[in-house]
Amino acid sequence: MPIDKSSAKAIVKDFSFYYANGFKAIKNVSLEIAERQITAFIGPSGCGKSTLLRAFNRMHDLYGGSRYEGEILVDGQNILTLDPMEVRMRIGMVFQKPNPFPKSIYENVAYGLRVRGVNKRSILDDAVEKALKGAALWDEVKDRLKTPAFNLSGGQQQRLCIARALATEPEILLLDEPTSALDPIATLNIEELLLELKERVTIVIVTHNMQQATRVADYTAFMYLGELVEFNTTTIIFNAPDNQRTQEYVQGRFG
Amino acid sequence: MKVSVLSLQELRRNIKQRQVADQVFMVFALFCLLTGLVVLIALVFQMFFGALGYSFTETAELERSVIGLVTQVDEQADSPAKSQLAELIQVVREVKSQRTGEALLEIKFTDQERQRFNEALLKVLPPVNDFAQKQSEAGFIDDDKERERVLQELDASSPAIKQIYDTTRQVCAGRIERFFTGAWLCIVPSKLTLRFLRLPPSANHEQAGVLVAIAGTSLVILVTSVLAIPIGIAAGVFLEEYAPKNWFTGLIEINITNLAGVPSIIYGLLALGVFKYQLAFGESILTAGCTLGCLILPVIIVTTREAIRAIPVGIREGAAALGASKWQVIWDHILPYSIGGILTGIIVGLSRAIGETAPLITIGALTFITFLPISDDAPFLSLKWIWSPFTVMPIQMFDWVQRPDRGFQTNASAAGVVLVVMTLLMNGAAIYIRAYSRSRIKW
Repeated sequence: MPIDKSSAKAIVKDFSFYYANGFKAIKNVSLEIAERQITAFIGPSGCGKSTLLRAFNRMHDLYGGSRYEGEILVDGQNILTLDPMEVRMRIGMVFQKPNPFPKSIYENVAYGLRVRGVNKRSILDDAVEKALKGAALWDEVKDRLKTPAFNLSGGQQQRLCIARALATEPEILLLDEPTSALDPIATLNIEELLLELKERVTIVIVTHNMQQATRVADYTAFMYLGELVEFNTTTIIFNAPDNQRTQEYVQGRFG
Repeated sequence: MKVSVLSLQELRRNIKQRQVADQVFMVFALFCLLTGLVVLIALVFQMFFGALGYSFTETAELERSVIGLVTQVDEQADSPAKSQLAELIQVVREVKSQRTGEALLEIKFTDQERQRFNEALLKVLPPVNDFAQKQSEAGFIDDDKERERVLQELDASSPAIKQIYDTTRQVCAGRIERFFTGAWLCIVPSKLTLRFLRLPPSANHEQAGVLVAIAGTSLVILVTSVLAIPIGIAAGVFLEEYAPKNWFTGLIEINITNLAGVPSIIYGLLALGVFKYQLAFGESILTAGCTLGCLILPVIIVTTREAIRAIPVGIREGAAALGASKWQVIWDHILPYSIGGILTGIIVGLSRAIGETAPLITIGALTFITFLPISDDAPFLSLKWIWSPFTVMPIQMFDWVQRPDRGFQTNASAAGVVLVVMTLLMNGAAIYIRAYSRSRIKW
């Protein structure tokens, strides 16, 4: 095992996931998420990497009928038995497509605090500024916080979504292919941002882009058909993987 | 299988064909739009000059009727009306002498003849018009003996006019009667005064107004809105956000969609049995509000669901990922972003409700009511009015249209204008709210 269990932020133990139609999308996966490191999930389309990521903040619970097996321990606590709202308040998520709310930039960032009942202007102002600075967006939008978020470019919108997730200071930040809808410059900005953020927060990222995984991730998990094929440090996965299939995938021979 | 590749010439011909198809469709669509516009213009014209348009279409028929009438008077040796109609008789005789071969009822006037004919007719019209008016008014006298006396007095005052009037009824089944009552000269806009809006209904069309009907319609729509809008939106939200997707909710969905198209009279029967008798609401504003509420509920539910469904799933997941509860997602996001669509459904529903007549007649709405459904005792905010009998604009119009006195036709047309304006005001308010709420949400 590449990570010492005592230093892991989250531990996935023999985790399986079934969709409402009975399809077993994740098959007995076990891995550890290192604290204040970036862990990447890679693998071909349909391998279950997004499904696994979404299980971390119980997104599947929004749609009835799905079923979990096994455990996901965050700080020793099984989040699968907690209230989904509590889990989502502790674990933030950024989606594949930038999905700002059709409100002002300010309201977008403040919303995470508002759902917690924080409505005091001074607290919100501070939190919004801090989150936007954390997402490297503050300088670009500080003069137009009241303008609609949809006026921003795609890359700015995605950074806004990161700021929105950061505003509530989550323990873990989940990113589901956050740059797949963005151009190379915006992608680069986001990657640099992630490297800054890992000082403060544990990050799990799903990516299609293997170069991205090598650029940002400390640990990489390769998944295939719902199974975890190999999990190790990014250097090992990309340079000297144990598994034949991992080797073929990272060299671009399939997938 | 080999895909056949078009040569350049074939390709160009193919493009040409498709462009022609485009243009054909564009012309067709333009034609459809113009048809709609023509109908709209005709509607507005009919609304304001309805009675006038009526006289245009019936000109030829009226002429034939008048010829018949004049001929009959002419043939009676001792007719008292002969002197009154002398000029008309002269015109008709001349026309007849020129058309010996033609059947009497197939005579068509030339323009010159028609002008002379109309001039002569206009001289006879005012006294006959006056007579018809007085007779109509006398008909509303409650006391039998008094009514008889007034009618006899009226008959005795001018036997000539009475004969013309009576002959009209014999010869042309009242067609000219309508003509004589002066309806063709009436113009609806002159009726649209503040006085018309402030007066209660009356047996005399001059003194009849739409006050009670406006009050009735407003209050019924108020009750309808208060009942149907919250229930409709809540039901739509529940079906879309909370209800599991299974065969049972599917069945409910299909039924609600179908209910939106059920004829309104069916709702009238439902209301008659349930609200009026079972719940003993009587012939009250409450019954009417419940009836129309049921009528528009499916419309609001269906449009609410459509509007909610149009919200991207990313918004929902984004909000939920921040730890928002289901209710917070609905209240902070789903409802504000779908309010435009929901309001469109409300506009459609209320516009339908405001014009409904059949279900309200079914539950026994009054056609003639002269008092307002307002309680006099303080505080005036009491809800007593919901138990009060009422009438609404469409019923008032229906009542007026079926009266023989043509003056009421004008009233009906004017009331139609008032009803349309009320609908526009109501919709205008909803459209304003919709525009305002959309301006705050930018996709």
